[in-house]
Amino acid sequence: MPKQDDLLGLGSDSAEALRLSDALALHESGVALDLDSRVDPTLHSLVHTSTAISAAFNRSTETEAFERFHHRTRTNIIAALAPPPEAVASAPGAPKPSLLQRWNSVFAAAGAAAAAAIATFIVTVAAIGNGTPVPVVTNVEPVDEPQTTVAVIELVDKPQTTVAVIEPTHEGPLVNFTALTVDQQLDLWLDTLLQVATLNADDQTVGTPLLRTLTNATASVTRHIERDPEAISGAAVFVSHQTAFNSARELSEVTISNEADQPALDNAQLAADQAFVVAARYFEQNPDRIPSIDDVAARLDNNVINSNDAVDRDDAPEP
Amino acid sequence: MAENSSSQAVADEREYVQRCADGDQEAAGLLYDVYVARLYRYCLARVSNEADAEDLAEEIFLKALGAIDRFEWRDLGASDRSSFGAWLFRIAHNHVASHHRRAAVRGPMSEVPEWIPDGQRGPADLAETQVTIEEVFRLVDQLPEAQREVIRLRFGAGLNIAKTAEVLEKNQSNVKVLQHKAVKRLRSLLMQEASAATATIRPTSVRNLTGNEA
Repeated sequence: MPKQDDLLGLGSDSAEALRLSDALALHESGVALDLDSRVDPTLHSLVHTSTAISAAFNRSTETEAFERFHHRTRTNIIAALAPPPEAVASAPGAPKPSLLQRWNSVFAAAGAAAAAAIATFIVTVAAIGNGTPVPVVTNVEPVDEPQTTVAVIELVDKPQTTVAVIEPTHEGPLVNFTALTVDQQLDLWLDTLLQVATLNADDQTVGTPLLRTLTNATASVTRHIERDPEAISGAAVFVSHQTAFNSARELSEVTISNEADQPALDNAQLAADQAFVVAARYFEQNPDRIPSIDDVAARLDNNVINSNDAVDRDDAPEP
Repeated sequence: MAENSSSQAVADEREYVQRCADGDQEAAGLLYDVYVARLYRYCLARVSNEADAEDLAEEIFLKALGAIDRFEWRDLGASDRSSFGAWLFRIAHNHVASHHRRAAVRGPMSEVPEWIPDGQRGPADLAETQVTIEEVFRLVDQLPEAQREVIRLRFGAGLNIAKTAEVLEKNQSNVKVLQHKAVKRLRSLLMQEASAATATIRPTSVRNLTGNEA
């Protein structure tokens, strides 16, 4: 930092401005300033005021609210760079299996599972009432049939905050998740989950790209439910809830080939947990939307999940 | 201030920007991670409203992404080769100005701050050394516009003098002088507030706010 003697040619204010600027530049680069308030009280107090102001600004983004905003909007930012969703485009002349077929392939005994899950769900939502506790999956155990699982839901006093997770994809087709309909998002989610389940069944490892696609598909549905709950049907949310539950189950059995895949696995698990909570909260707030078993089965079979055909598009502003 | 000026950070940023221009989603996310807090703080300082600041920060970054293929990397000097931040905050500077123009057309309600200015701090509160962001905004509002913008960019956005000068299209000497005047004025306002709030505050409290004895 220049000494006062070096600045004799400048006016006192200009010299002080220069010294303040240099002192702050040093401070910002991590250099500990050796300022003595008795030797240079003016510069000392100006630097102190500057750092106090800077610290106040920094504290405004050291909040949970800001973190939620950051994660939520990151999804939109990533989606803005994606090309059209080629991944979900149907191959010409090749009819795609219905959601129910894929549901069945991922979740065996789907009908019974759905019935049991809905029953559990109704009990859970009734138990929740209008209180603040949020249902959280604490354990998973087989019920009735070997291939049927039901989440054991426990009410805990947990802050109703969720962290949207979005994972960048390194490989594979780029998908603009937020430009997809809920049908397409669920479709992609199930497809990806099926791939994970198949790898698990074959005792193969799951890599980061697939885990990231699963995370993104999960987060995009969750975001849809959170942002526009009025435009999404109870059946769609129910399918999301069950898919989240099954995602969590499959992810708990995933084997990774190296440590580098661990963050992607952690994020996928976090996204699944969040999706489960968000779906549960939807029914907590909209108990009249709990679907019937027939409704869920019919919608899965028809591949029509979102009754309102809502498309959540984020129109990037013109540059 | 959290500006990372290491050469590695600049190299990383340059790579992210190039990858963004090539449509790389991961790079967009990483670049967003680097700038979102600074962008949000800058917007918050401009609009004094958290919801609007969130919307604006996201809009600005999306706008920058949409134009990123037109961004040209320029050297600002041997010690500072990154001008992406300056380019981004130039967009932010203009975008928030447009927001204010739109808000002015809609009416004054949209510009009312969400928080209530804290004019009733007790002695215990004043004994703390932290200045709240609400206080900062209230005091910064008393500065001339040019000084306000320097404070927002320097301490909110975390830009250094060179980038602040580039955003404001001023020379660096002018920015240094504006910064000095602004900080000096803020120090004076803080001391006035601390003195006026209560005469019973220990002198050390006032000293802590400004670095000097009252």
